[in-house]
Amino acid sequence: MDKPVFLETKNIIKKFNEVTAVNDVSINIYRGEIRGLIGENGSGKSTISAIISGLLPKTAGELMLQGASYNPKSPLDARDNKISMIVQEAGTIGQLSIAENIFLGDEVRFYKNGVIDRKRMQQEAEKALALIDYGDMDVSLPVYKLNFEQRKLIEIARALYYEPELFIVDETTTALSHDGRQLIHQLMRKLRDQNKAVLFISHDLPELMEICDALTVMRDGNLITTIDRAEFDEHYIKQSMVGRVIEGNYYRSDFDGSHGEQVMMRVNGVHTSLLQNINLELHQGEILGIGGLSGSGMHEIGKVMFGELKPDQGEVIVYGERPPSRKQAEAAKHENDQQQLYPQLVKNVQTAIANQIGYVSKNRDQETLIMEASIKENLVLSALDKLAKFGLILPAQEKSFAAKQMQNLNVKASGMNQPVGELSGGNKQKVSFGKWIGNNSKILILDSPTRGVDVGVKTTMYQLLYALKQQGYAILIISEELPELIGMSDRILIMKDGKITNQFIRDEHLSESMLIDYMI
Amino acid sequence: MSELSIPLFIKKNQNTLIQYAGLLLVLIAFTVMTDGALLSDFNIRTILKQLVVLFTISVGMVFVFSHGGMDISAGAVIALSSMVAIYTINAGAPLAVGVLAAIAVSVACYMVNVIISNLFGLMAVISSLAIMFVARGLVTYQVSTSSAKIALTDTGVLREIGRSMPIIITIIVLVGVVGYVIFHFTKIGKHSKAIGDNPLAASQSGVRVKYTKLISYAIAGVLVGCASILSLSRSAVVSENTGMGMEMDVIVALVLGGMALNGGSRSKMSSAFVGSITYVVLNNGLVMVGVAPEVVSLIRGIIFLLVVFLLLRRPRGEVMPR
Amino acid sequence: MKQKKWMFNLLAFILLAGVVLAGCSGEKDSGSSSEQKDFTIGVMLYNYTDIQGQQIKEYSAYLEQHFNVKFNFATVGSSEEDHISGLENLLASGVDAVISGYDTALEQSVSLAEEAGVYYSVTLGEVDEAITSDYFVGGIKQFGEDPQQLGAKYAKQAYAAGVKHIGITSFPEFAFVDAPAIIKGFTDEIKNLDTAGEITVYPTEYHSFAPENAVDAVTKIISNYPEVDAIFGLGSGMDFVYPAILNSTKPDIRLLALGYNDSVTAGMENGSIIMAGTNNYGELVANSFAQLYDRLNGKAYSDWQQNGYVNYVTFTTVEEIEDFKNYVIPKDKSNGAVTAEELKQTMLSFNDRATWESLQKLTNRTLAEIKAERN
Repeated sequence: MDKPVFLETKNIIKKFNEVTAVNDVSINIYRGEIRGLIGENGSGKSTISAIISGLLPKTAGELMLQGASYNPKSPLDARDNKISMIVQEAGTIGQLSIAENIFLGDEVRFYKNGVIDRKRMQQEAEKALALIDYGDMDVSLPVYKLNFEQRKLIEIARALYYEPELFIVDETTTALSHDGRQLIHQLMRKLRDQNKAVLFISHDLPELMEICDALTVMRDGNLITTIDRAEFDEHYIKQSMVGRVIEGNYYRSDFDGSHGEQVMMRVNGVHTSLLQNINLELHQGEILGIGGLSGSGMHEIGKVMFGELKPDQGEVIVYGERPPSRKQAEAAKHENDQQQLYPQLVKNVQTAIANQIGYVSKNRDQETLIMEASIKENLVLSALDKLAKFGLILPAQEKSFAAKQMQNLNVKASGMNQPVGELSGGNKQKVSFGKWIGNNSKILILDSPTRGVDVGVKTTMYQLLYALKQQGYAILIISEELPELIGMSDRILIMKDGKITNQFIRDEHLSESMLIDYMI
Repeated sequence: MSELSIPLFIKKNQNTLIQYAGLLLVLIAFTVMTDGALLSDFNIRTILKQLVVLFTISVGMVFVFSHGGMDISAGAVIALSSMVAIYTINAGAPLAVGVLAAIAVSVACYMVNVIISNLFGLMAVISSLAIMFVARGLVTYQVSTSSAKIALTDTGVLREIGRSMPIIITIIVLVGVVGYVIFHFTKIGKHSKAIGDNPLAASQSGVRVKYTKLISYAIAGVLVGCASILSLSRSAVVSENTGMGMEMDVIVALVLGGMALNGGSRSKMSSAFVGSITYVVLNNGLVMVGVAPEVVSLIRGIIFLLVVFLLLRRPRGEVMPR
Repeated sequence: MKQKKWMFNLLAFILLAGVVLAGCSGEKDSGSSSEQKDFTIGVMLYNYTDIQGQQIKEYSAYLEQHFNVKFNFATVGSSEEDHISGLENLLASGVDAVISGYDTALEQSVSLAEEAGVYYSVTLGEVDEAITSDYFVGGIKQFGEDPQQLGAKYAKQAYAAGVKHIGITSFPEFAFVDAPAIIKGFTDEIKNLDTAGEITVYPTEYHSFAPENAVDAVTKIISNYPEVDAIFGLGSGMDFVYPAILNSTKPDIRLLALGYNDSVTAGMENGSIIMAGTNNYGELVANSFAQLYDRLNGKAYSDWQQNGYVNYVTFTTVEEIEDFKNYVIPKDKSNGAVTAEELKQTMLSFNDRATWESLQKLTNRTLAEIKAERN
């Protein structure tokens, strides 16, 4: 290989207390190459990029930058060494303008007689945005007025402005729309063609395979292998990541789009500020997918169906086991049906939960789980009514309940008293599932259920969802990942601008491009 | 226990141990310095008599603090409730009616407090400030316009409550057990903790946030009302200064007991127990030893700082990226 | 790891420092008690940092040198709960008698003291005559035997200064029980002296316990009676009312103050203060102490009454302020308001013929009388 080495890590070790996150890793990063870094959560891929970009100090080992020793003390230090990184989390400050965000921490360069020369700062900010073809944006706008994707682009512009020789992208693309991804891909290719180095961290394997010139696989803090583009093999890479053999397809393998007859939920003519005349039915034993762009209103549907968002017009009906009145309960006794379901209006979260609806938010860490609380506390929170005996919830009950859920879902943790915030993304998601399954929820509304979850866990999630479907659960998956919807749903609804634009029934020949037409 | 498991035990129970460290420190230090007089029969009784009021309020406040609330009206509410109790009992009503009147007033104060903060989305501490001014204002007005001291004409049974050890111990145990059970074994306590950590996630888990706050404040109100009767049983009078500073005593006690003042899953009822005992023993010990008044505040400050430092210390400095 | 060790060391240090500090101060006191004093007297005050607290502490130290007694000072809060807890703690520490500054929760306090067999006295104020006990030695009128006479004294000085339009500010009656009597004495005496009918005294403006409340009261007087040329400030006259006047729209208003602080001298020199006054701390403590000490020795006055009285020190000239500093609050208390020798003469423990009346006489001496005694 005749490409020059830009950065070299030599036997890097990083420990967090007793936990070794990166173990003796040596990587060469070359100019003129897009290097992918892939691995499951906790594999150490983010830690190593954090060390290179000065976010974390290393425990042992050496970093060499163009042959010289390199020890970044902060991200600013790294930037001065022409290394820029964009991260998955929000890296902008809402109250500041676009221009101020771009030059945050580097205002010095615009000092003129002791004050910041705002005009020049704005001109430079426009130049930075021009790098990503956003030159016509008003740089004096406060960032909170932008949407998530636009903010990410601001961060990218900021990184590019400093003309990085090494550009690190850490899982940014998972949160972006198709257009945003395309833009980043273009930028990465452009940088490579300019003989710069690019490090692209993700667990979206197809994306990495499409973009990268070489892929480095990490697992449990160890470097497993580095593969050149010519030798890319999805199956082999996955195996290296997970360390075990994976079935060829992690989605369900059948193409039978059938489901139960019983309607479990019905949305009738719902209007909100973002939704227009939404009508849908969710059946027993059905996996219903809803796809669209992030602004299409699909996330709002989940909230409306869970009673969290009140529709301005229309209604959400759930068919629950609990008779709404005593009279109906009496009547039910006389009938010989095994199970009578009663339609009820979903007025709020409480009626939703009482009628066995469970909801996992897109912002799982902020809305579904309590990071500070233990696994046990999270699992029992929505099931307290079921656990209570004469109003008392005994610790033994909680323990056996939590233990059962943890075992069923195979949650990996040091114990049920470990705070959820310390778990990996996949295990967090398992806990948020367990919360509702344990609560006997028969209807699951899952918004972006595999967001930030790696391949291994995804597989188990999909297996679990399929098993639940077969047990008669009604499952609604809201997702931006079309392959996931195609792979898992019995029926897919596509949304655009607050309206349902089309419906697709499960089919072997369904493809992304067929769906995308109705989204954009 | 093998040699290796002792440090492991300490590490595992670090937070619990720290919680008791402050109490242990004052107990040991003062017992040594008073040649054991701290634990004399007479002084234990003294400590219990003083404990009962602070203890009762602290138990109530755990419900408020655990969901992220903050209350500084306790002292003023005690004054108002005590005053109403005096008027009720002096008018010839039986003691039980007086107690109920005090509890009613206190619960009303706390209800208004939480309703204001729920309705207007006001910070709880601000609405409690308003309640404090109103309650203190009513008492001051009444005290300044009445010609005679506002005192119980017949202290009778009430006086016995404040002095009888069996009654005091019964009250402490009862309040402690009931408070512990409600906080740790029922929905109210568990929901409060969830709200304290993350109101959004709590509400998505079916917790009725406003309702839970309402009930928590009602519980606090009942206990503060009881405390006002216990306080009255010791003083038998009400003045514009009644209960003054009590709200801060409670906060200090809870902090000494290891309560996280912003609430959440780390809230424990035992904080009220440990903290109120620590606080009372600390004040008692300082007088018992005869510490010069110039250094009393300093020593109190050092002990407070020490406990807070131990409690707030986070063991981990770095967070592992995902 | 390194950080952890450092933390641990810091913690250990704080812990050690705390224990040592607490230990030191503890030893300091046990050091003085090792002299084997017969009696311990507990003192309860809001603070020992203002001039009153400091002087009471200093005078107590002086008494420790001349009597077989030791003092244990407790800082108490203003609420009933705090007061009773403070008292209980003193009782538990084994004191033989208690000097309380205030009559807070008096009935319960006295009954607690009685149960513990400990004598109890209130030193900064008169007490309710209805509360009696063998262990209660009573309270003290701070403004002399008859507060009206104190008011009259201020009136005479106002008349002599030639002010014509006088406003009055005071704490409300419930908090300052003697205020009505002092005001009555003042207005009656003005009427008495003002035969020509030239002087007007406006109705009293009551205010609460914060400086800004006094400011409001002064502002109200000035706006209601723009011609006002003097104010008789009963509620912290020097600390609250004086600054309020100086910062008002009429800073030339002259002040008659119940109160004393360091600015009195300057105020008198430039004429803005006609008269000021303060508690006689030495006389107050001496009065309470003498009675408690006798009781502890099993002796009680046959002519005892529940409320004693001490003189209220007043000054009208810079010289008198100097005298106050030299004869009432000197560093060396043997030159102060009441010396140990003088006090022993009025105590049954040292003088069989001593009477309660003789004690009151001793502690009711005016500044001039004390000065005459010393020279």
